[in-house]
Amino acid sequence: MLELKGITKIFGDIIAIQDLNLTIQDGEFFILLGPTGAGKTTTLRVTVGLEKPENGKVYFQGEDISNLPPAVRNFAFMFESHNLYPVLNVYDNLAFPLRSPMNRLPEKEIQERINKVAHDLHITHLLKRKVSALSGGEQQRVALGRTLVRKPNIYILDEPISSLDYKLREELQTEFKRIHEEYGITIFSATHDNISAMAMATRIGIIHEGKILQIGDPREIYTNPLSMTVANIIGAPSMSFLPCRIKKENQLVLNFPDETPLSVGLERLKKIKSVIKNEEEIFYAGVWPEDIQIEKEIETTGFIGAEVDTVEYHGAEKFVNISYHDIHVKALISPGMSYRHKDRILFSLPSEKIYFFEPKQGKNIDKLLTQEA
Amino acid sequence: MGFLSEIKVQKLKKYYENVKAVDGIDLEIKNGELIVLLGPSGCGKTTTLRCIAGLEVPTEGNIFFDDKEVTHLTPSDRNVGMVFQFYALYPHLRVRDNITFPLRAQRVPRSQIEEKLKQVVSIFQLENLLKRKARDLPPGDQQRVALARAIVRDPKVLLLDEPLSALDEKFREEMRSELGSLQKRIGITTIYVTHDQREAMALGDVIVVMKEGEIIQKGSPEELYEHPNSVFVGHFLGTPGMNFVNGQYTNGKILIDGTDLILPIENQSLKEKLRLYQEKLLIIGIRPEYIEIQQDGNKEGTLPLKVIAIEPAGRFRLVDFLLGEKIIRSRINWSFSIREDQIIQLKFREDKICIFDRHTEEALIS
Repeated sequence: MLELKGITKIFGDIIAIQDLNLTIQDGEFFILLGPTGAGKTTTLRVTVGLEKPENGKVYFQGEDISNLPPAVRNFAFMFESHNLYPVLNVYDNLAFPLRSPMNRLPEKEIQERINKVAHDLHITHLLKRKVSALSGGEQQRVALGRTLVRKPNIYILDEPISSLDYKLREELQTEFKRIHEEYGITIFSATHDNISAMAMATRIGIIHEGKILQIGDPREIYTNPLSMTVANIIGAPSMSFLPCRIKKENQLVLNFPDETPLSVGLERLKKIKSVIKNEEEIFYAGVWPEDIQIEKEIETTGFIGAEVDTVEYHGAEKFVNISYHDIHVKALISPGMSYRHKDRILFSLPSEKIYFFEPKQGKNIDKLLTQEA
Repeated sequence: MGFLSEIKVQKLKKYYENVKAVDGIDLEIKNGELIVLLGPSGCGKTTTLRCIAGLEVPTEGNIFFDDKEVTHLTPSDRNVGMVFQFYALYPHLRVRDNITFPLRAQRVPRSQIEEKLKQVVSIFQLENLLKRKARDLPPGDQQRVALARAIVRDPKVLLLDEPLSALDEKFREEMRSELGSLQKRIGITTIYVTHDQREAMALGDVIVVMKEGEIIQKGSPEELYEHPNSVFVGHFLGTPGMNFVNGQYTNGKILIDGTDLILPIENQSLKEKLRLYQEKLLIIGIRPEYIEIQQDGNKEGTLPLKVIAIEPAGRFRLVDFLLGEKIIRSRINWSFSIREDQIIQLKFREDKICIFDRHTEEALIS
């Protein structure tokens, strides 16, 4: 078990991470997900021992390792740029960490370990090739291989695949997942790529401006985002946010001139009103693209008329970007539907699928109440 | 803004010593269209774009803007707007000076400059940034400024080379939508180079898939996705790409190599077509979303496959099955409960099956 407790790291006048707490169990594939500058790399570097935090402690298997140097912690660390030795062949690159003066292994054992890892990563045929002659994806496999030949306590991977072409990423993300399960190892990783994070992680930690906003398994975060920021970071593609307000005590309406009502039921309205105390105060209704309903022609009550901006085809899925007053709403449409720029479109928001966020910090109102209760 | 233009590229070749970067391609790009050149690194897409821009002189072939040949004109005589992955703004200059730079270089009168500036600033919503220095802006805003600078001269066409690939994943998605919307609103003819098939499908009116200096297939995103002409295109498009299994067709059924599994074909028109390829070595292609779970317990015509991995992906899951020694990926929503090692009865949607020749890897039926 790896624990980070109350970690704060400051660079000059920038607080890179602030009072960060995190527990990673043995055998997990834990991924920190957040935009550039969120504090992901700093967190990993503190864990490995490459940065000394201003505050807080790092524990491994219950033991305080905050003051141990990186080598003694025995965490394997793989950066985005993988630092392979281009003039050496693949075999010697893989052998490198095992031949280091500090923990040198007999050549026979080195060979055994390399053969196993090379086999598992499908790079046996490359062992004699120079690294400089390999493709990007092959190099990334070798870099992963070099971390796997060691038997470290934890594997720390910083953006392990995001510098690669998308097709290769897909392949490697499956590979990482398979290796994680087969080797039964603990992986602590970080990325800005929400799709690969959801695909690989057993648990995700959403990080933003140096703080962890939510931790959970990918599905849990997707279906219960604690805030607009979390929804923004996890969404693929994004959640749409529509301004709304409470009108005349018991009506919830979208805050546009047409004041389209959202029928959320009395119970939920009561809850919302316990957070949004001020009538006329604007807050937000958030909806995932797949939850928005679309009608093409017939005017149906409850549907809102708007205009198509663009259509985005994603292969298995198709999205329409709807212009509605001054905002954009993104909706998933069935593959058979076709739209053009400026076409008329009707959409509706099924109330049970709407997330409501308060205006100050963008927090999920329903979750705010469960937490308080 | 009057910058509509048709582009024609004929038999374009560009050789560097013994490397054939572009090896005889033909393209026609219509007014107001957004065409994407898509392919893995080294496929020749950027070289093609650079030839169209006038940054490279082709070894052979011709390029026309409307009916005028431009093959040997300088970039400035072609009047194209370009944006690259790295936006090449002047970091110490203010946003307004960055944008007006090309106009000042051409000695456009000041009043006209002001007018043009006003126009692009409102398109890109840069009103509040005009006085900031370029280096102080976040990457997305810098890219917006670069785009504004590219169109301020009323170029005939807009050429974009991986304009979003330096950005974060999330931000890319936002900028992509913004760019698509902008291109449609202005209606400028655009050529867009990328290796990201998701970007290509989301933005392109037409996608041109390239490989090793040649065009493999061109068409609308849906044509390419639903009807790939080769294993390459089927694999390259889609997240994840198409699944492929080796098999042979005999008397109304497909026998899957290396297994004792049989895929009976009921669809008459598919049967008719497959009859032409009896006993031939085939590759069967099926997209992840066209693999369906047979729920009613009827095992007829289904493949019993074992679940080996489940990847959540937001509103759906990617579920991997083992078929012989191959992994088959399918897209399954959350309404079924699935666990690893479970055996599930699967059906391939017959109207969506693609058939390829195992030797040439070209499509026979798609």
